[in-house]
Amino acid sequence: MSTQKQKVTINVNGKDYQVNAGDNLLAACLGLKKDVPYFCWHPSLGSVGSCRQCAVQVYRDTDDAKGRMAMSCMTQVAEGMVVSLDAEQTTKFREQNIEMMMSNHPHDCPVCEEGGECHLQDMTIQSGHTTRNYTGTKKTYENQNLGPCLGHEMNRCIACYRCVRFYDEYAGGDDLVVLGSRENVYFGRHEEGTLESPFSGNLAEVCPTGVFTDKTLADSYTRKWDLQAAPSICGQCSLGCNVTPAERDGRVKRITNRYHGQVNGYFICDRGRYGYAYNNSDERLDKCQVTPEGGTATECNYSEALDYVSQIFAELGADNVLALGSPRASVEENFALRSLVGKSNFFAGITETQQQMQSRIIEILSNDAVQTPSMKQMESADAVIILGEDLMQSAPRMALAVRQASRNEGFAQAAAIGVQRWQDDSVRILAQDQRSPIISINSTGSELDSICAHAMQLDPEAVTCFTQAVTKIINAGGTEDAGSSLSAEGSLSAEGSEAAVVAKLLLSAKRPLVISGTSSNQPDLVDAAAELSIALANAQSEKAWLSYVLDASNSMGLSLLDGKSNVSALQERLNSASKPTALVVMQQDLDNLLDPTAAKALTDQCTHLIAIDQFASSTSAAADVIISAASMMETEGTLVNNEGRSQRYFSVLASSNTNKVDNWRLLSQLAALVKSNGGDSESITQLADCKVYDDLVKLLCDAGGAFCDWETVAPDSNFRVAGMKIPRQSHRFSGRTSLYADEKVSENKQPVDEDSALSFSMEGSPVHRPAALNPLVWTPGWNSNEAINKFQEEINGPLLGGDPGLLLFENPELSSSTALSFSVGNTSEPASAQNTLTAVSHARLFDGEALSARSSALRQRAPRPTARINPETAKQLNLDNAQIVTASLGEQSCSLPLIQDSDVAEGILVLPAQVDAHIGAHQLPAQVTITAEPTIETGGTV
Amino acid sequence: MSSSIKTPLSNRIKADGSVTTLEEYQVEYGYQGLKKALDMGSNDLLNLVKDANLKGRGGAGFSAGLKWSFMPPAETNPGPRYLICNADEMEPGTFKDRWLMEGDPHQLVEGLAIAAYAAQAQTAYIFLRADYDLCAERLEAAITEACQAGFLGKDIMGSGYNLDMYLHTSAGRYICGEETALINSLEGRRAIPRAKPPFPQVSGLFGKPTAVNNVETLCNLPHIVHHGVEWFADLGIGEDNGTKLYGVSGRVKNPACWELPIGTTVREIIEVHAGGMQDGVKLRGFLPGGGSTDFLTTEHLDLAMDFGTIAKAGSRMGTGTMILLDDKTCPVGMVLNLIEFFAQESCGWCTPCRNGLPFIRQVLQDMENGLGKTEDLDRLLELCGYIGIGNTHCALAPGAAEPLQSALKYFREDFESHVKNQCCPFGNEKGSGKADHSHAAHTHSHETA
Repeated sequence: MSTQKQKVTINVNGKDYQVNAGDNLLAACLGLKKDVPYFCWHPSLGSVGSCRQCAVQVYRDTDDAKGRMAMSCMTQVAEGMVVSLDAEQTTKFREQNIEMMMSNHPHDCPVCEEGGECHLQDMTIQSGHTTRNYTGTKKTYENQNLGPCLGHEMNRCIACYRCVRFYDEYAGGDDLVVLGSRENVYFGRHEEGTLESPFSGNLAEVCPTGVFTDKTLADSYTRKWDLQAAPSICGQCSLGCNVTPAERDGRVKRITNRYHGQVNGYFICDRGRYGYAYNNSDERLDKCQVTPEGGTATECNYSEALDYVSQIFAELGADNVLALGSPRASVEENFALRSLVGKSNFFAGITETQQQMQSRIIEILSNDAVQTPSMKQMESADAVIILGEDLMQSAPRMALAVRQASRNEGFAQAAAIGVQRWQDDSVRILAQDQRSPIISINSTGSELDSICAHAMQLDPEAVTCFTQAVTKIINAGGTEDAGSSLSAEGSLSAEGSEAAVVAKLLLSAKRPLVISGTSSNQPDLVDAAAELSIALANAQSEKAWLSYVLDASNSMGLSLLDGKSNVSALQERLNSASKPTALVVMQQDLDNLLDPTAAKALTDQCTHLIAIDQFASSTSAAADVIISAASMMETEGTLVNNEGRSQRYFSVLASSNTNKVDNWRLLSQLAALVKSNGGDSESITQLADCKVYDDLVKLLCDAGGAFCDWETVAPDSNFRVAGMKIPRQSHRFSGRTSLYADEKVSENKQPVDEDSALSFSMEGSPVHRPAALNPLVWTPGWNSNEAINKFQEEINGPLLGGDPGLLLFENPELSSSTALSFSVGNTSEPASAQNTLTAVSHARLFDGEALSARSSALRQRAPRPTARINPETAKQLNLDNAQIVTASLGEQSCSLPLIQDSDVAEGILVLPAQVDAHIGAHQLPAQVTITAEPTIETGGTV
Repeated sequence: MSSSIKTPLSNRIKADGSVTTLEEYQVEYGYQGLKKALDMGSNDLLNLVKDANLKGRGGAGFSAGLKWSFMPPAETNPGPRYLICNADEMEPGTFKDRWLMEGDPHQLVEGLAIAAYAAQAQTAYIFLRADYDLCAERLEAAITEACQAGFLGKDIMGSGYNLDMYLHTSAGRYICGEETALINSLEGRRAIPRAKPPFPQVSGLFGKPTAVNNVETLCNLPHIVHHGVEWFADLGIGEDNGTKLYGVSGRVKNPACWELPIGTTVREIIEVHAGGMQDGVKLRGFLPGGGSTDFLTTEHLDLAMDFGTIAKAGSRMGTGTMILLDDKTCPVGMVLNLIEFFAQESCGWCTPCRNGLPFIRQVLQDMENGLGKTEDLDRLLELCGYIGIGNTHCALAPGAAEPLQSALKYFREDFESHVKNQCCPFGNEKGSGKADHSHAAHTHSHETA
């Protein structure tokens, strides 16, 4: 990635600059922070020359007085090129061009959701068009209902074609199309209906004007300049996309993409964009609650609840208070909880299998032989094998990166005939369906399979065996002979020849990437994937490229903090406890870790159960103390993503607006109370002394290990720009004095944020904000997110001052050079009984994560839960006529419509992993008993 | 004997409108050109056509042999290659290719096979205008006959050369005449021109090396191969070689299409072949090569109709099919009619074409409707510059500007009198754009798609 790019010198407006050879002139000029207007060009989508807005004057050399007009997006920079951005001819042309675009554009800016952050507004001003000369009437169109996430207002369309280019070509969607022709082009669906792509929400940002807008924002609309925002990290999967949540008056209004050069670039998935609704939910646990023994539940405030809990500590002794942390709570929150109860009393809130997998993943990724690439790096892989993960459901942003990697074959062919990668149409035409090989080996099909050179569906254990077979062939020299001889030996199953094909595809690549994860709960697969990547690396003499998708936003952080404990260890501890014991469960529902019977048994063993969470759960129902937790948008913290990148998020909402207290602060306050009651462990004292967030960060630094550089993740609360804090509000924020005018005349004091360098106000430094602390991209004349080009070192490059975050696996303390050894998978006997089957879970994007599943926009988009089975298997089990099947596991069962799907491996039953599934994803794979309701005959008596 | 033929392309076309059969086609030297081409080898063939200086008859006038030579050599670039016949004849006023295809389809099949061999293509397509039903029927039959006779298919005439030929009928868009839009359409994509470079010779149909040639150009090949370069050069009068199909439409006595030596003067074409103007009307000007060429006037009548001469006079020979303007027809109305066509046929990809042409249409409509403003003349000139060459994604809009910009030059007084009198001096009714009124519906239609 860091290879020095070749440079050429171009002269822009009389001054020489060094720019990247091979770039287009538009990207080069924008990279130089010059203003050149554009619409159809997009840094990720490349150039197509449609809008003609980016015209500049290009001169042969300094002697050429006349020059010629050229579309900068379609012009490659060349050594000695002389460019004028304000020659009379081009200035005039750009003004004319905007006038043409505006001839049908409605003047509805005052009521348009895009107003104030509209690229078309910005470019119109920049291009100088002011007077309308067109005498005709404006075209009008019928709009479509595109579902709960996006509004559609075609009258505003200027036909830049960005929407379809992003949606179809970049993201692989197929239900947004351009219809019609001439000045009657229409961008929409063939018929009304919800846009199906899990990346559809990006259209609101890709569209330069108000055709596609965020419907969830429109529901309670606020202008961009009236929003208060903070830099944040998406908490809804393990990838750690950078996002900007924005709020007004205590209500989160929307999430937009926050550019990160290595992680998410310009795009996020719809779970990340629309999942925020949980924050505003009426079902939030807004108050604490205490239920004294034999008494009734009583709502109370924080201090009453904390007092009550401190009494429990005093009563049972601090040694007898245990705690269960959470993979969706920050490192700091988990660390504070661990400090409160002590290391030996802290348990990671994950299953034993998850703990095994996550600890092993940390061990593997720490090894010198392995490098885990960022998503940006993944895009340069020229072969990808995905093992046991449906990325479109479990890590969609990574699926988008893999999709781009599949284009590398086309880019290579284009380069051979001198076509640059930004010449988007030319590359696609040349490449047609030729792709770099993407291989998917999983129990079920994926939407990504359509770009796969090889997609196989095998049962979960066979996925591991197959992976091991591919590794064997690669280690044996990668020839087909090696495959067939292994086959002949009997050490390979019937899939031997396919394994040879896959091995060959991977060996033909220069930079192969292995992706696996924890979704399928197969610890052996974690090893098999690593072994494969190392075998490939040995063949290529490069570091192995290996990436794992984890379960939750901070699975990695939790396992780095405590790699050994899990919920089973907690069970054992409780089983062996001789004294009355209390348990604090933070941001976790025991039903997600144990079957309901075991969960109940566990809570029954606790004398006191304290639940800290945002929503009620079966765990909080059993708790005698419930403490209302702050959401990610109400506090600050650090998450470690799947590649070991620790990234800080900051509260968007002031606690005075939400009546929530930071979870870490509650724990610190509790520590102080425990200490005053006589609890005097060192860690309690240290925690009790944490008055501001920075104190906790310092404690983590002192804890060392992975966290030794914790203070470098982001600037601390003392950071100032020219003596000023960084405002969360835009300098145009309005209504501050009138917001509460119905209640009182005086203006509310601006809340003080002592935990970060950000302020809850509009005053502060408008410039020179470090990337980790920048709540919004804005620069004069650039009011939309397109302003990002002013904040990057170069187009598509890192943010100015470097992309934020800290890569933990680059930390020498974590690295290990000892060669990894791998377990050999033991294949267990397959199910033989007539009515039993291995059930596996299939991740669900829209309703598979606890918090985002509370978004009604996403819930509406979740497909109907079904059980899926291969038609052959259905036939063997006489299920081919079944409409409803009931799968039973122990005392649990779920009844679901049965769908026959040839993209399901034979011999398994696929169950949906939605949050309220009766058989939880953590229990699978497992043998389930199946009973079927036969098809109801129609036509009989009613 | 046969080398004395002066009208090789139309020689076999029968006056009664019936088609030349395969037997009739073979009477003289039908498919002998192909045989000879296959015998000489593709390199010699390519050089022969280059030497013949056969310029593309679709309008651009680019050397056919040179075009093929830009394809990467087949020896070092194995894989599919394509030859496409552009038979999407939709230029206003143009009907020359139709005459060739309806009258003598085997001539095109043979010419296309020769071109495909020169380009080392294994597959050839004829992309045919949607409305040309009779051409489609006759070409389909000719291809089938040629296959059965061994002139197409596997191992053609024992040469070892294989060629599959397909007829593809367009869905009907003017822009499909642009070769890269044609290729997109053939691939099943939207008919939008591609960015160039890369040119189709390098990355064309399905991303493979592809050459696209006009019907008339291809029809020359059997004769050039059969008779040789010298014969072909002798057919022309001026600097260009061969014959040319010329057509005249407008108020002449005998509007039609003829095959004449390339370089015949405009005067001879109009006054001799088209029989001169109808009684009572006088010639004011003409578009020499279809709807997208600049007006020339009576002062240009003695110019030779060849690529270089007409270009020097400030227009283009284009397809060689003229549209005449007489003194009883409103030049503003005529230009409006053309602009309506081009606005209708814009693919919608780039802004100057998609929105600029409707803007021009609006100004001209206002003028015809008596709502013209003094500044409209300058605005029209400005708009012609705005949609000019280099400013747009392809040549459609610059072509559309040509009749308008030249009308403003030669017939400025007509535009001025529209504005001054606040009406059309030719009595075009309010709201009339001479042709239909469909544009009125465009401006505030409730179309979804």
